[in-house]
Amino acid sequence: MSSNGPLLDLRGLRTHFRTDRGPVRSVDGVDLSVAPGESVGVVGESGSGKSVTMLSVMRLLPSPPAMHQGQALWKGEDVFGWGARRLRSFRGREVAMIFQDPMTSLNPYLKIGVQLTEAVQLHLGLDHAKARDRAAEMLRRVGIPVPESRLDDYPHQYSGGMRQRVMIAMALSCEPQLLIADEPTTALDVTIQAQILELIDAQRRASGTGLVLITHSLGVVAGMCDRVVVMYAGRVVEEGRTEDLFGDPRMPYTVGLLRSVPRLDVVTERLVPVPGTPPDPQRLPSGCPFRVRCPWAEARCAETRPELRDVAAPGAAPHRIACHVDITKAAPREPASGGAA
Amino acid sequence: MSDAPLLSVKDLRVHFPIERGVFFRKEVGRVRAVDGVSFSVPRGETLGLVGESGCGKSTTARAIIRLVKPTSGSIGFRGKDLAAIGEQEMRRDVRRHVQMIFQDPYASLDPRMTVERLVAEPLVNYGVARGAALRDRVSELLELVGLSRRHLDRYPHEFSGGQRQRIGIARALALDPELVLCDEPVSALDVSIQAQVVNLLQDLQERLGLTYLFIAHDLAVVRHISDRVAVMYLGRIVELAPSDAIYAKPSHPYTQALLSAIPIPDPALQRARRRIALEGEIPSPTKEYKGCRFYDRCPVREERCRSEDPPLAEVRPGHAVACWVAAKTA
Repeated sequence: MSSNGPLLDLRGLRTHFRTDRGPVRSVDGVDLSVAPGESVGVVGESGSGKSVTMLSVMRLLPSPPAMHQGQALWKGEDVFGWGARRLRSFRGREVAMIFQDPMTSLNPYLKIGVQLTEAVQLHLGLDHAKARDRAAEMLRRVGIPVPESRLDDYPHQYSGGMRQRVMIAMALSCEPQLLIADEPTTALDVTIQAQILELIDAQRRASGTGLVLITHSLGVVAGMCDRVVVMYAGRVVEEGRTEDLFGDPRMPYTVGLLRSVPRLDVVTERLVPVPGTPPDPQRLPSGCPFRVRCPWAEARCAETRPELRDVAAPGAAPHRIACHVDITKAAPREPASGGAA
Repeated sequence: MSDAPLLSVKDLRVHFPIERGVFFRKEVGRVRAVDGVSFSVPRGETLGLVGESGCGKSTTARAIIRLVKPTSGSIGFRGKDLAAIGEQEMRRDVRRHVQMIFQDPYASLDPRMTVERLVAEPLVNYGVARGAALRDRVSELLELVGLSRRHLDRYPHEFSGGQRQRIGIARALALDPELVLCDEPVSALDVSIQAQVVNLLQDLQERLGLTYLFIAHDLAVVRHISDRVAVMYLGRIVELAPSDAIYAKPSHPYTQALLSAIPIPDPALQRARRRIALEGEIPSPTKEYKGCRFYDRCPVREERCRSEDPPLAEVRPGHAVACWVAAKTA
């Protein structure tokens, strides 16, 4: 594999869950790649498959019930072919993950220092004293005052924002090449949220770490990501450079999402909601899963599920959408009145 | 506006004692969740209440509807002081006129009740309707919120989050309230669904002449729906102004920091913005303050702010700020 290939390359990744009532197609054919040092935002509503995609890559879902198909290539090697030993060095050392709720990711019975030194002792082979120095250094870098004394505190002695800082310190302590952050600030207050996002951004820029930021907030990706991937019903429906996707969204779902959110800097008399509700992954409609909510839907949208296609101008950076319709030419139908959620 | 406001809150305080001891309970401190809040809401208006967790915005609403007992202050509503009347009078005369919509429609609906029973419950409790008239009223309410009579016999788990919130709204409107307290009504909903519920709340206000107290941490949503906005910090209102004014000319340093922290979904704009960083985190509401509560974190603090508590005072007509520095420069 050449060194300038993507770090992570998902090809037709599917994760279905076996249940008594039939399979749940949470991730249903995802193509997505992340280059070294790149920051990619993955946006979607709950149930769109964004978290399950990343949990599949980390091989964190027990199988069964999770059934994987397709490939998840890490520097050209398929993670689904790896044994336990290879996975151990992959997780934490090469790729680190931060979750939404730091309280559920930290062990309440262990001191922060113990939890921080565990990873560096294991992955970097540091002795106890060196590991402790490194842990204190990491805490300082994420802005925890008097880190030496806070190493002997337990997680409950930290505030929510501090705990998320600890998670970031822990994730970056082994200098991974890719950081996956799954809604890292959703549980935090606005001013703390901004601090944490800036911290993640500054730290990953300093070390050249790639970032996958999973979020439902369009504002967060607008400020932080080079590229944005929009997911709907287990698939990527639009993908492109952040400026292109926000400036010229081409998939009707993205258009609807951008239009429905009130903005702080713009006065709107009335919001334009996306009609209907997200689909049940157990009962996806035929063809395009968004068609039942889509003002541009045509007869062919019910027949075949659209594949991702590039709509960028020749020579421009790729801008791909999974949609049969060219919304720059077709006119939308007026949405039906009422539109009960 | 010559009419008296529908709701008029004066110097409201809600303190929760922290007690120690088994036989002889002794108060060792108190959480000052709400600590001197005053505002009024004219009929038909929406007042937005924003702030970070722990600022007292939900406790303020809960005190108005007496889910918690106010420690002191007054709550004027329909000629009564809700802070002074007893539990029975509250239930008999007041509750039907003030209703609440909660954040989590998964937690606030009894999973064992059908939609019909859920929406009928307040009507039955107050003996408003029975039999066929009751069923008709419930159907009417469901249609009002964009559901239909087909849904009468279903259970909450059969609905999506947005639909459940509609059921919660139908329930809150069953008794024709005048004042509706909306506590984070769209925060738990999917992004594409939030706009549907926001639009519904606006339509209902117009049709029924409702007055809203709208609590949320999402300032963009609050700006969109509110006529005026009150920003809370540590149990106090620090700024209160018409919603356009608060976004165009935020005057309290906390409001400025809060607004600057909210991401805007526009890459060029968002990257060019400068965030006002605040030192530290929100302090504990158990602490007592002589001066301004924001002193420790304030980027523009002066000596006076440490010792003297700034009152909420108008710096422009209709725009009030609790800040010595803002008062000077306005």
